[in-house]
Amino acid sequence: MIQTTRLTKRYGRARGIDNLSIQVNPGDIYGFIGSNGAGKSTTIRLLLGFIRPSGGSAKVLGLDIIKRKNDILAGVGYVPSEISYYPGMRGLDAARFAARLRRVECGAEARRLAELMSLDLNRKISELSFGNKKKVAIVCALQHKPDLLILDEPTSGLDPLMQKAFWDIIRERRRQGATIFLSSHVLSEIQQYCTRAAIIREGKLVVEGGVHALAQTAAKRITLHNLKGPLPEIRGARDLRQVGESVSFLVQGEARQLLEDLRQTDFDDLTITEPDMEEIFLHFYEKTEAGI
Amino acid sequence: MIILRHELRSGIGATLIWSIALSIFGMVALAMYPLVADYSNMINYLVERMGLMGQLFNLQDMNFYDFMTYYGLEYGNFMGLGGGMYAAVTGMVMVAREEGRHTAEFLYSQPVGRASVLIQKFLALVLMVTLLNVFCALISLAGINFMNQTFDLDAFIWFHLSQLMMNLQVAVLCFGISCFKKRDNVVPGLGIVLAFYFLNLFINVNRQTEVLEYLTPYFYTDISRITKNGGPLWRSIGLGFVSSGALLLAGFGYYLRKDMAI
Repeated sequence: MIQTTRLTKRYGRARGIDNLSIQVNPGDIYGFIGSNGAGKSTTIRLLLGFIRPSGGSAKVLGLDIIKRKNDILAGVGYVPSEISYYPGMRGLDAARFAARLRRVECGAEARRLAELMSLDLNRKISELSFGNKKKVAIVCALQHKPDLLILDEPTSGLDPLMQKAFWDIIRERRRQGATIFLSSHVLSEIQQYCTRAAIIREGKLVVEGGVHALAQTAAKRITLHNLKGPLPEIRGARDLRQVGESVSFLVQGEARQLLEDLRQTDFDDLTITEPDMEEIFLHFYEKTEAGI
Repeated sequence: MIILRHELRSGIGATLIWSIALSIFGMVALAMYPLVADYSNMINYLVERMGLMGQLFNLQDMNFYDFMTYYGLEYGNFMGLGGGMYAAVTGMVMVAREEGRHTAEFLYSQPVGRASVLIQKFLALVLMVTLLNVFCALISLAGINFMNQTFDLDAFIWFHLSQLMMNLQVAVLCFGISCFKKRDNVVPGLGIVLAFYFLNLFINVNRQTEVLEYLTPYFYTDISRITKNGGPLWRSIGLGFVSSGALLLAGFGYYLRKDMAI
């Protein structure tokens, strides 16, 4: 559904993204993770044709992003992180305007989505809160039932109940065959809802893969319960945390080496867990920072 | 034509306000004509002795016995500036406001090409500028008929046609400039109108600079030149549109490829 090949964008001397190659497959809920300024929005703007690449290429829905921009947009629904509408518009006007530009009649679906998110489409958008404006954007993006949804921090501004309603809608769309590409700072929702993810740092791809595979390639969190005596030197251990008599740390490397190191101390129990998304994110960020 | 309709709907209010305001000025000028006609001998006498001031507004070629001379001068001054400013302001903001007011992300995430957006916005601009001119001309015509004033209908049509062409040329020019801009700033447009206006005054003072006539559309809206020519100055109008049109095309070309500021 989305394929970028060495996609590059430079803003003069400033970096946008650099040789980014990612692949989003049909049916994926694909999380795009990175810190502020990492290049997430630049990537989305390139995919939607708002800006032109400095190098490389990309295809969305199998179509070239430069040559077939309008055809791509016809099959895509886009929710920006922040959005402005025309003065005086009501939510309904924005939804109708978007539908007319797409030459589709989808008033019933717009009303259904608004109802699911408790949104009053008859209110002027200028009077709406940030979260409700985001809901209008979601209605505009989803009402025509696109094959691909591109969502830039879609849940920012939504309260937890609405976030749940939003994810229910997204999962429903996925069941109907849509593919979802989203950027988010909320790593827990990437872990909970996404099937695949990519981490981007300073415009470069750090890692891409299935969310479970990413967890496996990252460090494991080792927790030693009821540690008796001081913790010996564990090769490759980091992010040491002590809670009561328990000590936990992240470690990556050979299991045999870890067991050798642990043999030098005594403890009652040991648990090995997959790290959460935040730890995976930090792990890969620190790894690239260290040039590993 | 959805964007055309959207632009017309959002711009029609301002267009009507400008049209009514300019028409009120027009009515005031018309109401003052009987007074001017009574003193036309004296005005002609004074104009002959005004020297540089008379040249500035091209008064020495005018006969204030003639209604169209008075109408063209008075109406030309405020309608020329007011209409030009309306055209400049509308042309400057129509494209650039999408980026300046951050609506470009909403608009261009729909499957509507930039070329289509530009064409529809340009058509909306042309229609609104034409509407303003037609509205003002019709109100003037009604006022003149109400006064039972005899006048040269041909000269009236030529004059208003020339005003329309001037407004359209300014609109085309500012629309073209707007394509290069990321923020909807009207100041350059207003600056251009004032520069054109004062350039025409400069040409009036120094006839040797008439070679500059193609740089300012105000040259061809001058009632004395129109009546002397026996119709609109099509050569000046044509050359003005060629230069403004070239900038418009350059703006179109740039806009189709530019990175949107979102």
